[in-house]
Amino acid sequence: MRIGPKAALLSAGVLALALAPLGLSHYGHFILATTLVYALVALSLNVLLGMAGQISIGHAGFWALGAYGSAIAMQTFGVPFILAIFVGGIVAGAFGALVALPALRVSGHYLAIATLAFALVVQQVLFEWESVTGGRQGLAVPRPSLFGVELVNDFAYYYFLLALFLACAWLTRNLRFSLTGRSLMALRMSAVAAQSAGISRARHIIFAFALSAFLAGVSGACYGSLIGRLSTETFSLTASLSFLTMAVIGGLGSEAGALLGGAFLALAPEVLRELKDAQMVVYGLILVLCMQFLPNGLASLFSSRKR
Amino acid sequence: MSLLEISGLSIAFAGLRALEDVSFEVRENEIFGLIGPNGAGKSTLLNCVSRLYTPTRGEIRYRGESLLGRQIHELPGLGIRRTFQNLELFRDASVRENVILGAAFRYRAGAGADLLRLPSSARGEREAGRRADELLATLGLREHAATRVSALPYGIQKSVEMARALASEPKLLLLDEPAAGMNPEESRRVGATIRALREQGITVVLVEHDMRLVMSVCERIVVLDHGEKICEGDPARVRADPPVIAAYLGEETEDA
Repeated sequence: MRIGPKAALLSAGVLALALAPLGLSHYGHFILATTLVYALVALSLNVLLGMAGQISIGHAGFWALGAYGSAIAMQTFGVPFILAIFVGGIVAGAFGALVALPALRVSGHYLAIATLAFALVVQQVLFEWESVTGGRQGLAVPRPSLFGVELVNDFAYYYFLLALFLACAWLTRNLRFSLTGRSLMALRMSAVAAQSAGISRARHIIFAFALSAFLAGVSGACYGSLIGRLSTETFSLTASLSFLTMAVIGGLGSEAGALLGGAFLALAPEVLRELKDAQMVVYGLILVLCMQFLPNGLASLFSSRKR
Repeated sequence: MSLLEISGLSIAFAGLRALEDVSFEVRENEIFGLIGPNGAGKSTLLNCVSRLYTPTRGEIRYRGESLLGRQIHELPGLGIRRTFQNLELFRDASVRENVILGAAFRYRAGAGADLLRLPSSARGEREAGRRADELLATLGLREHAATRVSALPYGIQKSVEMARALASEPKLLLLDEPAAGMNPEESRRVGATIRALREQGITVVLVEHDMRLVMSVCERIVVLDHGEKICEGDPARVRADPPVIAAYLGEETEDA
């Protein structure tokens, strides 16, 4: 079988990801694992914003539901880690479907505000519901373990997250090229034309929200086990906005873009920390330059040359 | 036998009456014309049938079943398709992709199968692609298959919209000014296409300003003026009808 340039690029990318943690410190492993956790969120925004054209500035809400859902499943009900991830995803996904209901009536700014309000409510409820979530005390999350074997360090956890990310990227990639994914994009281009062509807006938008929230929830579940302790402050408006930024910076049109976006969000604070007071200025400058010169995100650095 | 039955249809926008008590029937496998001066309510009527608008009063039946309980996206499944006066295409997508999306609802395997890329998902895609290629060949669009719609001239975009509407093999086709902005030669070709569609058993409702086209292809015509039906009959009768002539006087004198 001949190997095309695309397959070669993909293999090289996966190989690079597999070798990335070698020779790095514990902290390096932690940053790499964080990259993948964020990349899952970027993937989820890829589905919602990139394919369906629906905005969400409340993804921290779904992320929180996944994190708390899985942590409580593990702590209170003794659900094993690998299943708890799905519990987190399903809890978030169910709320995603609910948020889609108002999204069917509103769009643009109004949808943005609705999703924002949703995330704020989630954060507040998690904070107040002390008996279940630990409230201001926070919630301890056990180390991830697979089939009874604890993933004691982030080095091992990174490989688990890599497998999970690749699986999820495979799903969203399948979706992008399928008739369902293309129907979503058709709705984005012209809702009237798409509906006149037999595409149900309600069904597709609910599906996009549910899937996107599910992926964000899975990410949240993985995040909890990475950090080891959940605190509601993490799931703020700032987090929602950072997610949106990284998804756009990475590139909404591809799985590689999601990964680059995740890397951007995980690495930028590390790199910029040296700059002390100037860091927000430089961060802002990077964003402006990216929007100006790479409107399709960092991913276009790789794809434009291929065409 | 009547395929589409419009009875007592009225609709008003902010108190302005756009349609007032309009009734007529479209018979199976005929080419039916809907004409009238600008602002007569033709497009409004088409929008009611295709469920973009909900009439204030009246009933729309298709094969005896009311369409008012249906949503826009359900009509293609019933066999009803439409085109738009000002084109509603997926402008950033290719011609072929537009036509595929015209039948995607029919060939789609389901979200779960699509996520996992099950064989049924790939099969649906292949079949939708095959159907699109067939149509592109029949409508002479094959050379444009990979071109982005927005890069094509208006007349070809109109054909793309027609191809997309035909993708799901409709029984009733509602055409909103298919010859608008076309020269006489292109307009004649539209006429030939419409006749060919009828040969395949498709019933056509034609809203059109080009009188030569309407008079040459339609078997029966309804004339609207100020939201009311002022005449119904074959082309000869409509052409000789005094109220129709009066309605068109002072309007553009095209070929009427």
